[in-house]
Amino acid sequence: MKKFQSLTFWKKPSVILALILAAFFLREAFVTALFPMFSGQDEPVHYITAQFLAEPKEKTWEITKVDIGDTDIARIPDLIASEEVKKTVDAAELETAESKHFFVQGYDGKNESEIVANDWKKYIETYPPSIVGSTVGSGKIYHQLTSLIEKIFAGQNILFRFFLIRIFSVSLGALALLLAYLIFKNSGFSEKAGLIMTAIISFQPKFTTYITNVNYDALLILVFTSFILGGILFLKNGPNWKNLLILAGSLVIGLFTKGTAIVLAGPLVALALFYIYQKLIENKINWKHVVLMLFLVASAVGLLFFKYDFQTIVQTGEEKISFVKFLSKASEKIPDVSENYWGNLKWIRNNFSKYFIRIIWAMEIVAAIGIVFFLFLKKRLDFLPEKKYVVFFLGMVAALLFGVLFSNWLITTSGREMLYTAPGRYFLPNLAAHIALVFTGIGMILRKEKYLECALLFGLVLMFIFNFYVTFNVLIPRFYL
Amino acid sequence: MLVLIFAKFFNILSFPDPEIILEKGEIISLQPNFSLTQTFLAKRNNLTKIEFMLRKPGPKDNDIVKIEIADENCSKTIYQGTLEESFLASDNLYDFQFSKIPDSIGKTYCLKATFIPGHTDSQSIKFFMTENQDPKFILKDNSGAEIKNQSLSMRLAYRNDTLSQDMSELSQRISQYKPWFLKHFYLNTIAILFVVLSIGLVTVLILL
Repeated sequence: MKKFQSLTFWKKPSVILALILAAFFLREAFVTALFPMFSGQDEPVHYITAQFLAEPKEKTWEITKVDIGDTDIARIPDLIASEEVKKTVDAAELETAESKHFFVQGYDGKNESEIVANDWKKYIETYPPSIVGSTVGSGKIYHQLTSLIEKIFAGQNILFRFFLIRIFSVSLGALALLLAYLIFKNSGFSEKAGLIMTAIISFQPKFTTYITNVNYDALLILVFTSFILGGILFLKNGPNWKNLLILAGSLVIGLFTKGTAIVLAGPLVALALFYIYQKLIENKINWKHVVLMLFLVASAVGLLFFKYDFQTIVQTGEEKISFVKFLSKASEKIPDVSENYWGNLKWIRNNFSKYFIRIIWAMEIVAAIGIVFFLFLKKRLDFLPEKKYVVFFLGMVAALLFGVLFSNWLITTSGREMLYTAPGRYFLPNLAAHIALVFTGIGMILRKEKYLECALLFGLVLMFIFNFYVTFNVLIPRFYL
Repeated sequence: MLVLIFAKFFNILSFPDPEIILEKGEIISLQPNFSLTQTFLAKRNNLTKIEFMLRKPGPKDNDIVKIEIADENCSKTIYQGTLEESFLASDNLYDFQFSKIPDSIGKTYCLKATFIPGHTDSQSIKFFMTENQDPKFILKDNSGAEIKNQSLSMRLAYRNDTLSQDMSELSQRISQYKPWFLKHFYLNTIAILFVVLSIGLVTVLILL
């Protein structure tokens, strides 16, 4: 009886979910330790911002102003930061090209005692500091939260504070995982399918490496996932205070996190229009109100975009390319972007990551075909989400894709650089929607729930192996061997 | 597949001398069908790999750079093999890996590199050198002439007597410049737990 009961215990969704989150958190804590300090994407600038916001409002120390011109400061030693950051970089020898420390015997680094002594100045004495945003204003939400960690643990050394902030980013990732599970559960997937898809996300190599960084994208991923959940609940239950709060709250927090969140406005409007459409069908609202609302939406969109010339752009006075040609050139970069999105770190020769990714691409192609069938066939398979949820997922993917492309196009037209590509991490905020679409499409092709479960398990094992490959055969050798 | 991943991990687990920075100094050319020799001193037991910096392009397909490790008189060969591209994606980094030499500490060895071209038009292989005044490091070129105060830009890598000692050294390296909760015992516990929980999770989901 006890053995039977213990087996039943492990089958409980809440227990499995707890196992997913625990395994994720511990794995991410380990990966957090693998990346040397400041080696994550834009980490120095994000950390310096947190440290800057933790300073007292009244600057009672002397501040020297320098002219940095148009220099794009990329090297850590060139960043304008506190004495503590600069001396830590020095002491830990972080500015070498290999980003490898000079290891010594023992568990403490060669100059670690200097860092741990914690007696360097934590405030910035040279302006403008290398921060996100400006020195005026209260900064982005992520930096405000991380500056709280800086303030609360001011008595601890920078190693403690920095890596605690990384753990904070991981916590945001864990929360995003939890919300992803709720998305799958509420959009019509079975409990088992939802758990497996959540586990798949928890092993996605790009997500699991990137979420360990001191970077506001960790909060952005959470915000997008929260918005998607709000959208699913809105579609499922109609508008109520709970899902409207989630939607509006996600949008507002997103806008105060990173400009990318503006793309959420599109799906939000689409949800409102869908609701209106439903009410029209039920004869519950007046056509005149609908026309008025559509006119207002069209006007807002027109005002937003009228100043952009989509016909031609001038590229350094040499070649003129249109927005359509820009899209065509950008589409050539899709394989590179996709490889980056799935976590191909090109640090290792004979990198097997590309084989994992080729298998993933094959699954995505099958899924894409399945999604087309799904959208055009009337008969619904009851183990897959309803059409409205899938259309919403597609809308989220399209909105973010449009946002990234549009932003790149603006940079290209400004003459700063030709920007046809984007890092794969820019598309991580939609990871939950992406996974939902992939397995909806595959489910549509396979037609039976038990075959979909096989595909899910295959995807899970693939992602798990890929994740361990990246951890043990790429990250550890890259930084420590 | 998981077994293969860990097998590969344990295979590449060796610890390059952290005091050596591979530099791109002056060049010494290894001509086709010629050899150069380098004596060197091992600082630890269990010498298992030597890394080299080569100028691009390195050996082409079918070109072979034969490497021999011999005693300090360059007479008795201990190991021989070929120079391979490093597992790290660097255009300049190559290595020669061999079974560990258990009692290598404090001993001087002789390395002989011979270029066997695979094509009639194969160019010379260019090794970077670095300044080195240690008398144990003697470099001789294709003609046997000693090149003073220079040695090949190379780095020795070692292992430990046992795998658990290797894991302990790896844990030490990862622990450096980390806070207490990501060091030593805590780091090891986190690592063991995450591996166990991850495998357990996948197993539970498969059996569900």
